[in-house]
Amino acid sequence: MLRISLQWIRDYYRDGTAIFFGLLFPIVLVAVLGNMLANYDNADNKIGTLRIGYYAEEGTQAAQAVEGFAGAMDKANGVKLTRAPSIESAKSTVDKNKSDAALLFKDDLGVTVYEGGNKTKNMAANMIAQGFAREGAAYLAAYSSAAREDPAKVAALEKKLAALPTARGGFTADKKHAGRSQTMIDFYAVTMIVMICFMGSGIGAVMGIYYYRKEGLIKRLALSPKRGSSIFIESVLGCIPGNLAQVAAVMIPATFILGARYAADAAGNILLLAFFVLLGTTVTALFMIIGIAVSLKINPYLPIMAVLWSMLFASGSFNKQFSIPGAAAYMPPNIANRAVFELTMFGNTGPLLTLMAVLAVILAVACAVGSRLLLRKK
Amino acid sequence: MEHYVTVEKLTKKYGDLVAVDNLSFTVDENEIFGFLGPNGAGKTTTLNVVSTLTDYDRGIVNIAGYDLAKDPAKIKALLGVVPQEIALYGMLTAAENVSLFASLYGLRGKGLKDAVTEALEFVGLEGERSKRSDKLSGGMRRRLNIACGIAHRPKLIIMDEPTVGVDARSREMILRSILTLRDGGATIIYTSHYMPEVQEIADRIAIIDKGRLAAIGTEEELLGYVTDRKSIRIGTGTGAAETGRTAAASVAKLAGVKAARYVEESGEICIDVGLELANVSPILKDLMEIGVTIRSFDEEAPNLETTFLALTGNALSVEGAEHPGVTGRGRGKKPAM
Repeated sequence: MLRISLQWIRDYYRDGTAIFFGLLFPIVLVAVLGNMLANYDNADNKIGTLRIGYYAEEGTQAAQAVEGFAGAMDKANGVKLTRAPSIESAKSTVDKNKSDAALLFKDDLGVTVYEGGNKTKNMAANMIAQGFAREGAAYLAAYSSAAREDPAKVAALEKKLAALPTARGGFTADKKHAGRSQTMIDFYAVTMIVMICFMGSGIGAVMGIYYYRKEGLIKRLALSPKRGSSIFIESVLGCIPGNLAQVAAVMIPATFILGARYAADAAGNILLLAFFVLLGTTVTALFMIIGIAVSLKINPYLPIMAVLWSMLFASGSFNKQFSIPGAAAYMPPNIANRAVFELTMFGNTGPLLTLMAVLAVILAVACAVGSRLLLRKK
Repeated sequence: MEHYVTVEKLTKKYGDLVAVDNLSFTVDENEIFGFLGPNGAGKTTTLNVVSTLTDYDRGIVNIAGYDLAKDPAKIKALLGVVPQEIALYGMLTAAENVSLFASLYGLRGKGLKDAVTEALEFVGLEGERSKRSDKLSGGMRRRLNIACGIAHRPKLIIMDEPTVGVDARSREMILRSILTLRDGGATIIYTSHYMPEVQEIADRIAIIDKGRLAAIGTEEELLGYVTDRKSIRIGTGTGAAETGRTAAASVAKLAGVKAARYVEESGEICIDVGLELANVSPILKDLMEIGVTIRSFDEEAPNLETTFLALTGNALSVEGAEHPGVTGRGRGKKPAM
């Protein structure tokens, strides 16, 4: 059992060229390319520094709450909250274009936004106000509930609130999604892995089968009583450790050196790993079919590389400025990226599980087709 | 008598090209069956059909009582094929290669280990078992190729040009191992472009040409096919091959000459003449006029090569192929029954 798988594994790990091109080269290439293209990575809407003047009446609960809130915002990049002596004064700075919006923090922890002339900055100011209001509402709800049930809990709640961090450290600009911290590396590493699933697994599968055919090894396997489906499926299975190594080569350094966290919890990360392995395996099976179907007179390396790079560019994997609007959303790498981000950013497993089910079906069909093609008689 | 392999009226077409045309032959159990034919004669197609790799259009192929059309899996289990191309996993060691291919036939555990050791010893590679196959010499790789095809102890072994491109020592070892396999009970179908090799080991020989059977029988029986000619072998000086070829072409036009060819490897001009030709002076005169230096002159009785040429109109040897000297003609043949 699985002797053919074992052969694929041995062949992969003993071949320095395969290790370089399958494992190291994509990482180096993607890292270099990522850096090169970083300059082209423009936001959809430029906000720049958001200057906000605010006022909260001295001695009120709102003034106390807003102090901590403003302190935290000051430490974040791109937002400058300046206390004004009165709301009128804050509004006049907006009129004079010295600030982008003015906020009035009320004692009931409500917020009034006085917008300026920039629509995008107005949206940002409103989001800040909503964030404060939501936190305040949650705080009040918890506080009043605790006070009703057990006054002793109020002290504990206040202690917990005091211990809340006012700012988070991070690799670059930290973002808070679905209640957890993420860094840009989470996004970049995920995209890299999806790319490697296509590049490394695809090229490895095509070239592996192509050379085995060229050297008469597939013919030799076909001479044995082993069924075509066994040979094909064992070949696909034999590529899984290589695919896993490719994923690990990105995920492990990204996690332990650059602080990537991916999904919110271990279960999410296991699901993510399972998805990447399934994606790599499906790509392997599909590209093995290409390796079986292609004429032995044509070395498929360059054409396949060209197709893969074009697909990855068109799907916006390297940079969204290079993608083909409209078509990008239908490209396999783009679909995979979106499903992964649904999990890592929003904790939503639905799209990923759906995609995994689709991949499982594609894999089964690919195995059936590949088995038939592999031992087809002339 | 039940034959081990029976091929009846086998026909295989590729589009309009008839690769094998109504071909029939039998192979008896425990014999070495030589399969001869020029390039494109249909040898490989026939062997591919017998070894279950290629479909056929018409005919019956029966091996060990199994019909190929109905029981290909049972036939596969009996077969060991040594392909012409060296098909080995370069990154695997010699032992790992043999082990992988033998395991495909259901061998496991100790049985598999013993089979691997036995096969490597058989081809003289036991000392190289841990060496990666891509680090072995050409001759060793060729021998390992054989070990991979026979490790599972098949009943029927098909060998397609197993000595192409090997040195004299490896070739000698390969031929000896084929005889040992036969003596051990295997039935062997053997193809080669090199006539003396087939003469040396084959118990019976089939000559096919243009997909059809031209002749079949023992060496003696085949020689009986040609009764109208004899061979003259003229050793020439070391001149340009072009001169030799020109001379052969010129001689071929002379009266009484049936065929002439220049053998570059030996620098000889081989001429088939009719038995009625008593005076060879015109041939020698023609050669000298062209400028050929004559070093030796031998007259031979018809041999298998002459027979082959007479039957197919083509020389068998491949130009440029490496075929070191053959020793002990006919040493391995089973005594005629």
